[in-house]
Amino acid sequence: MRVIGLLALWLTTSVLPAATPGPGQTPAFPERNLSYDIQAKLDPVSKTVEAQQVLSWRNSSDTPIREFHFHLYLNAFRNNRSTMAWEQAFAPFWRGKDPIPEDYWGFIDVGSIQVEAEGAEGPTRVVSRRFIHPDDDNAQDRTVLLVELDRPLAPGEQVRFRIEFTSKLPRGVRRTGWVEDYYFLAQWFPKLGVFADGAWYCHQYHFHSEFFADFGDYEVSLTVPSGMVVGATGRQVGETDNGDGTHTHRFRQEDVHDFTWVASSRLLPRTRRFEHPGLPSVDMRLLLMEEHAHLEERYFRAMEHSLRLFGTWFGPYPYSVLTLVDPPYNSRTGGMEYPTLVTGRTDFWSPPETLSPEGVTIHEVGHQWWYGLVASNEAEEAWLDEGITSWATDRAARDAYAPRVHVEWLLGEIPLSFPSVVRPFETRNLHWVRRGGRLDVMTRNTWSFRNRRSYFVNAYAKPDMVLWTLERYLGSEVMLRAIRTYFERYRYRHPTAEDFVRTVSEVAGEDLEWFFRETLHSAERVDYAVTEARSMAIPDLKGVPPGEVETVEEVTVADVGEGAETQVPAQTEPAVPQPDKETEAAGEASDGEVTAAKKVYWSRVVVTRLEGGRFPVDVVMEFEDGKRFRRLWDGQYRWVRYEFKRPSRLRSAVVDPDRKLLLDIDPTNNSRLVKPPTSGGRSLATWKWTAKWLFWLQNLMETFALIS
Amino acid sequence: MTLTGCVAQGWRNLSAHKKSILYLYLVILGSASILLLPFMESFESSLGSGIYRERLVTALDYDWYQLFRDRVQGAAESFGPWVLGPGPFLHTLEVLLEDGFGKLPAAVLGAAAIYLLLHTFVLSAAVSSLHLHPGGGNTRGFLRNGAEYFGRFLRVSVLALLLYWFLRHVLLTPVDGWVDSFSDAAATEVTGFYLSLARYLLVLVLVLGLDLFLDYARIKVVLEDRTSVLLAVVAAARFCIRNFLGVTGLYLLLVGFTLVWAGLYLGFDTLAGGDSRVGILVAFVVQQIHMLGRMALKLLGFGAQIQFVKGRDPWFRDPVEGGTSLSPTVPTRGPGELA
Repeated sequence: MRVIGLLALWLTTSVLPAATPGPGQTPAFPERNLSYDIQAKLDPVSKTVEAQQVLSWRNSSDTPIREFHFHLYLNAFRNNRSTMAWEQAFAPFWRGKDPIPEDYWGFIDVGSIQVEAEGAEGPTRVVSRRFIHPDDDNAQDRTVLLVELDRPLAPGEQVRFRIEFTSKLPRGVRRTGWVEDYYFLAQWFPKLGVFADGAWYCHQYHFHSEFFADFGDYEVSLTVPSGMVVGATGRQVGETDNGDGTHTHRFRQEDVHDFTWVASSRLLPRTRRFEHPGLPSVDMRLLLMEEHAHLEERYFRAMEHSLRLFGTWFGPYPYSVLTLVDPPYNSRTGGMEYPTLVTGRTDFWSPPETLSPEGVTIHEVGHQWWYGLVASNEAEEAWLDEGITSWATDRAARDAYAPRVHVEWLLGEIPLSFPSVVRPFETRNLHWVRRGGRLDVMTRNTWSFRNRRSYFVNAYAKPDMVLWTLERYLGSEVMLRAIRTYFERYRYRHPTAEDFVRTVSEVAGEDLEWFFRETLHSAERVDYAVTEARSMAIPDLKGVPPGEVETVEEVTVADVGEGAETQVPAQTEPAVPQPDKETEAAGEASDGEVTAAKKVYWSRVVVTRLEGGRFPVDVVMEFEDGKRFRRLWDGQYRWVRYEFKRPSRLRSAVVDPDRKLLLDIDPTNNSRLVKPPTSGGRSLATWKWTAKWLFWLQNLMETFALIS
Repeated sequence: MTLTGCVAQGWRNLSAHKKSILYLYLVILGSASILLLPFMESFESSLGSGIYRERLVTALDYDWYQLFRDRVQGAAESFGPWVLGPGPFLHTLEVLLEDGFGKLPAAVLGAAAIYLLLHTFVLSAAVSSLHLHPGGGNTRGFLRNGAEYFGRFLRVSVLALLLYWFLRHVLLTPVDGWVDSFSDAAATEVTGFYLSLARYLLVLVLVLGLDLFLDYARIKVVLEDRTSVLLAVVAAARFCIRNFLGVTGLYLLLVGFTLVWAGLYLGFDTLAGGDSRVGILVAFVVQQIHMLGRMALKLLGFGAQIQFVKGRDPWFRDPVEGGTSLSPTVPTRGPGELA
């Protein structure tokens, strides 16, 4: 019966390669050319999984292929010489244990590999297999296996690998492994790399990297001890009591690029159905820890918000099921995404203002669109998944929940919220850009980033801020249309940053290469500042014969500085002085004529680009008579100067008054008041917060007195 | 004498020493104010010359705060959202329980050290005056008492710091390790949560016990005019053990007063919040009234504890018959005798 099912699966596959869509094109659904049929059995005593896998793959490229690359990522935990272990040597992840206990090791051993080919060329066989290290020269790394056939697989030809393997699970580490009676199996089976452009994309397992694989259909049978609750990628299509103290759970899912599962007797299964007009229904499955049972409603609500908002913004969630695993304490499996299955993370004492578990849930569900469906190469361009998902997460949380407030975790355990301290979602990651924005450019292989902070900044924080800035620049409507177009055009297709830039430019109707040059491909930070804003009365003219009237030109807008914009929007263009009109006296607009009888002020504003990032920025200058002048500066040269001669003093100058440039690392220098309000020589804010800090300090001293 | 009687009598004695409260308050205000100017400079410059000067009046802008936190140095590093609401109480309690003093800026620790010295002097003067001048005294007598007992009180303070260090870094180290390893091995975070809370509760109880115990040591120094701090500590220990329920009950009563006072402050702080000059001034005044009250409660505690010792210690009930080996056999100055 299963053979017939498998045959049916093959029949649905096609040999046609997926074409890259051109501008304005909406692609056809990609062809299926890959399927996995896996039978696995969990042994909780030895913490191992014994499995047989049948992998069918059709060469949909136009290149004959003789070598096949497989991910064996569980081998990253094989020893302390794997590439991942080397990369994390300065940040121990085995809970800092030295020596590392035996149960912290994990590996995957591939037994036999048999191969069958179906095509005109006849049968084939494996002639060799060896571990390769495409990213480094680490001979100890066994995370990529090369399997060589005796002859090339012709274009259109199909091959079937029968693989027997054993996976030994490590104690919970980097989102895989076991703790107590909880087993989380990720990266646990031999997974084929992605063949594209005549080459395999199958990177080693890196410390700072997630995953990349091709879409396929999965049919997986999981045999576990009876009484265990099982969750997995896809929908459950059957369960059999084997009569020997085990049950076999069968899962099936089409068009996903990974398969992950969890088994534990401690998980409490909960189900609910997501329904929203215009979006397909989804069975939501929540596997919950007992100590988090009171968070069930909040977990489900976060899943619903995610499916609704992301489905509306980007496109419907195409699968019929979404499983969320609430992992147990110390499992090291929280906050991770896999196709149709994600893991949350929370604490049992999590009042709503902590947005836990909501924040992580939205983020991981959001990955379903970018990691799951668009599926960029996370090893090479992590930001395309993590960055877009971070931006989408902030956006969804902003729309679905009350403003986020600051929460202090007293003694690391007790949440204490400060309702008056609002933490804007839009600038959540700005301080990371400030701290690490100069370390690297975003477009690097993940293992090439300078350090862990740089990986985080360039995969998550900076792209988040870049996309917020882009949204402010384009407007929300255009931005959402651009992202939606990108999603619809490239889902299932592994797009690159170039595809993203091209799509956004196309939808925006302008070439945005300049924007992405300053963000994706630059490690310069952005900081524009008003460094001077002054006004002074022009003294009376000396030496002019009495009786002669001097006309002072009111309007003098001098934009000084190489490359400076001199564009003046019509509505703010100061009027040319008309000596015969007394507009001031008549109480009309104050930018009319000025004569020598009136006091005239010379005002000067200097805006400086303090960092290397270059963006066009608006500058608004406001005068005491209420008049405002807006200038657009291209932001290229180091500074620009604006000068005015007007019958009113300058009150303030602001660069980027609408806060479009959210990447600006220092918003406090974006404005300058000519006469800052003071009280006793200092701002009122200083008095207020000094008083509060003084009280804190007094309390600290009293606490100190308690032990002295 | 009942515990409430002790408190009432302590209050009556304290009423005659209102200036002591004021001196103690001025010490904490003055010590904290040492850092005022540097803090204000840092804060003012962080606001820039633009709109954040106005924005920060109404609320703590989080973008500004992150920038401030990234750039500021010195005492202002200790600024954070915890200056709001109950933060000053809970955050400083956290510093105490986590032994976070070492993470504080050096300038703050320096000011705290100055406070320790001045506070010790004024406290020694105030406590000795409460005993030696129950009806009240003048400033000269206050200072003279301070000068006489300062050295002994300072030795008690140093001993207290050493005991705290011992408690935190020697006595509780195995407990910390046990809690961490047990939490790590537990199947659920709930176990770790309660174990962690229990650990901090233990630290709190031990710190409060230390405070209580050394309060009596100070009282013994004054009441029995002991020159040996160690003997005073031993005497205090004996007294506390013999009168465990009484000393604990009285201490908890005084802690209760402090908590009620803190609760009242939080209520007023919520109401008094304002963004105008007047509002800011009112909030400041409320804060300082609270601190003044805390100082009064501290001295009330000493006053009540002095009464408690006098009521329970046979030597004070009957100085001629009640002398013990731990009481001075030849007191240089008897109870109630004026300096």
